[in-house]
Amino acid sequence: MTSLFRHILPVITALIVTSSLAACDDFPNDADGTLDRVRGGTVRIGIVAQRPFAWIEDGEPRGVEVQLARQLAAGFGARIEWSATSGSAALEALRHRRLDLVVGGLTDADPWASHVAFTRPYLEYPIVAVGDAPPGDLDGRQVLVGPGTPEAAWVEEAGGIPVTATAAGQPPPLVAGPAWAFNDDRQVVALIHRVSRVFAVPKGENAWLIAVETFLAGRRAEAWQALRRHAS
Amino acid sequence: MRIREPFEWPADKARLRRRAIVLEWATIGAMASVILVMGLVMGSSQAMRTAWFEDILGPIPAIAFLIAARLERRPPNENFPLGYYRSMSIAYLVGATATLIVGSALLIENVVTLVSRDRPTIGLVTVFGHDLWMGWLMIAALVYSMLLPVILGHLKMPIAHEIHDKVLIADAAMLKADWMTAAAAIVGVLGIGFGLWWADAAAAAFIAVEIVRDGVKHVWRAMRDLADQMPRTVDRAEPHPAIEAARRGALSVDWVEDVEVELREEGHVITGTVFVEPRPGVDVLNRLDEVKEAVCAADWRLYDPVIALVPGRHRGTR
Repeated sequence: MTSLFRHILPVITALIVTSSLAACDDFPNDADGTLDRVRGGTVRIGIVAQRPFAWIEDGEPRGVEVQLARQLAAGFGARIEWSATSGSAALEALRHRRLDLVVGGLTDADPWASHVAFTRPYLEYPIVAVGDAPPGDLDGRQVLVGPGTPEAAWVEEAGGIPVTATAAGQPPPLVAGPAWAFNDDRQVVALIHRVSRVFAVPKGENAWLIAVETFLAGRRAEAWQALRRHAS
Repeated sequence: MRIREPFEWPADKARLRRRAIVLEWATIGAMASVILVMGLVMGSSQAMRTAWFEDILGPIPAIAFLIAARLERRPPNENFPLGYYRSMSIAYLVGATATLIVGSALLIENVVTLVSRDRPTIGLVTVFGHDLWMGWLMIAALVYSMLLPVILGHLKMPIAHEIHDKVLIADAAMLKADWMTAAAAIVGVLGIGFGLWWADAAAAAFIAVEIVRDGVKHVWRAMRDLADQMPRTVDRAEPHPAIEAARRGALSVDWVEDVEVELREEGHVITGTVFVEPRPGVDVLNRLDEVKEAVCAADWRLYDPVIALVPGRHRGTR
């Protein structure tokens, strides 16, 4: 047992030392060399359409995350090749390394997490319930949500009753939505859920992942402002 | 039924046994801290997650030892007239099986990862306001998870041999599995950093083969113990010296002409039947206990042998 340890330990130490020396520029590295290819070259970007993060209008990609992706590409002097497909086809293409980046409706809770690599969240915000009521819990209270939205499930988990329409003559119930969608003068009654927005890159591309994460690290305020502008 | 006298531990061995118990508690504490640290840094890495699930099985041999050590101390009673000494042999099987399961899970997981060509990715993490490649953090945690098993294993092995404790041996095998897995994971994380996507799974699969071999070896030994194989030394290299010691002990009694023994292990103790051929004209019935005392004095592990008298010419046909 100890002799084996004596054999393995120097090997590991040597590996750690050499990689620390290499750490300055090209460690960690990509399995497929994506970052090298993107620098001064082309970056292939796919979209999972979800307003206001990313969508296609008149053949042109738009949205908060599309803007961020454009800045990212510009920083590397890279030309963008937008994907012809969107939605889960884009993620499938990313999984097979036919794309370098997918933006749009992705959160860290996405089930695609085991097939593609998510960045760290670049923005986190709560889903809130707003209305004319003092802050408190949602127990047994009606909350207006869009039909077929995850908000309905989150409202129920928080103890509220999701409704999709207000009955005539009833007082307006609380309204659920992302925090950026409401003006500052709306009274927040309860926090329902937390959302963490991420970008996706192919698995195994460590240097590229870190490059994207480093770019996104300072963009929190910018993304928030863009979302607020979009809401108003 | 007749109830056995409880086994008395010699003072020096009892002290070692108490130290083993302290070490096993330390092992559980150390493994709990490793599980916590690894849980904090594993992030979304599939490889780290696997290593973590194996860490959760890690304390099983130590827990089995502590339970068995407790049971073993109970004196024989109406319900268990032969005592609880075998609980140590059962704990050995449990600990060995846990090692085998850990190795098999590790092997299957990593072969599947290799075959499906899944590429692990490690990104950034923020530590005290600084962005750091998470790989470095993982390596730090893995080095930590490697040190404790090495130190504990080092302290346990001599005790295991002294008090002939097979559960400690199985536990040492698990500790070895632990630090080897951690070593493989360090190589794997560095491999990922170099862009070698297969390095992580390949290193882990390589180590897993070794752990499976250890597991199979110990499960096999534990089963042979429970099937009353001839007592052997802890490393199985040779028959246990207590066998020869028992024979010589009985022979040293002056009225004994010839001796044969039939011994088996019950956890820490060795027990069985001593067949004695008396010299003619001795009042053997009143002096039978002399043989028993001589046998028990011959080796600390010899306990409660049954002394059987056999006539000379029938010996060998019993």
